Amino acid sequence: MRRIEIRRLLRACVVWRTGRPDGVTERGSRGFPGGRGQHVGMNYMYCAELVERTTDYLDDALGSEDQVRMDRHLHVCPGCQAHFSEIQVTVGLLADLSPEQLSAELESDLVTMFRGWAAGVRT
Amino acid sequence: MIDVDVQALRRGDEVAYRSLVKDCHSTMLRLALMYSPSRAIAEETVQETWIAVLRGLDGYAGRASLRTWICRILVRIAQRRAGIETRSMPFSALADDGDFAAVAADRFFPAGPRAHRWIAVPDDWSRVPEDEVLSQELKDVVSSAIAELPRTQREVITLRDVEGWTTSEVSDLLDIQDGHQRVLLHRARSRVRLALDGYLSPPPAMATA
Repeated sequence: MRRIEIRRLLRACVVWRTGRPDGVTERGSRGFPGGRGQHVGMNYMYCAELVERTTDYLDDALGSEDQVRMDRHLHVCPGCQAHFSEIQVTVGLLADLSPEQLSAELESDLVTMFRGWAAGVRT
Repeated sequence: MIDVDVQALRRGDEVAYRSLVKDCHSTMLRLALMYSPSRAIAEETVQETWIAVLRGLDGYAGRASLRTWICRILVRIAQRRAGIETRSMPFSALADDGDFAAVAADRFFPAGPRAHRWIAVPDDWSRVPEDEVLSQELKDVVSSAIAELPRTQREVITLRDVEGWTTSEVSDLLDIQDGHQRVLLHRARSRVRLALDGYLSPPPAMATA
């Protein structure tokens, strides 16, 4: 817990120092405690956030900034690409469900009812 | 989708009426079923709706799409028959579901250098063979997952994803804001995805072996 707090502080320092919200310094990320040189800025969209934004994304309802964050993440993350494929297959299957059928009996009742109504309209 | 001239309907044109009934039926019955203990009662609701539609046809001003207007009438009738007082969505519809997560938290590293990232890459369903994706068994999994959703989520996912309505039509019908609708849709899709996960992804025991 404590380590995370320290990391957050350090990250804020980097932003303050570089003036860049993505936290990337001119010399790259060396020395930044992001682990294995894999540096992420404060603006980074994590996998856990991305999975909550898929519906907004598909509805074109993300703001332009989040849209860019998400596109960037999807471009490089095989896990989120796979998750996204699952969502797309899910939506495809939903669209593929067979429609509810109109039974002949109900249709005939509805038409009889209409004829009665139409007779009233015409008179 | 619905290309029926309202004027033709008002004149008593039976062909126009039959075509409208056919176009609307699947959506109407699906909505009615959400409020009915049986298919027979849902069909009665549909029938009562058409009576109300014809009687109210002169009052249709074209502000909402015709199918939205018809379905609003249907939902009102279905709710009355089910003994539900108000048609406005209870505020608790979202609050009840407050701890919702689209993907279980334990699928992500909780801390460390890879915090909030996948522990194991999810299965890529685009690799599932097409005949398996199109199987009846899978459709049944989807249908029963929908049937188990809270009603508001079920209404939204049915109209948006199953029946292909637009965001604004659904917001009109259910008297909700677009953002609220997307929250409901997101939760519903996530739950259907989870139900499919057991069928389309290899069991965890095999995945870790």
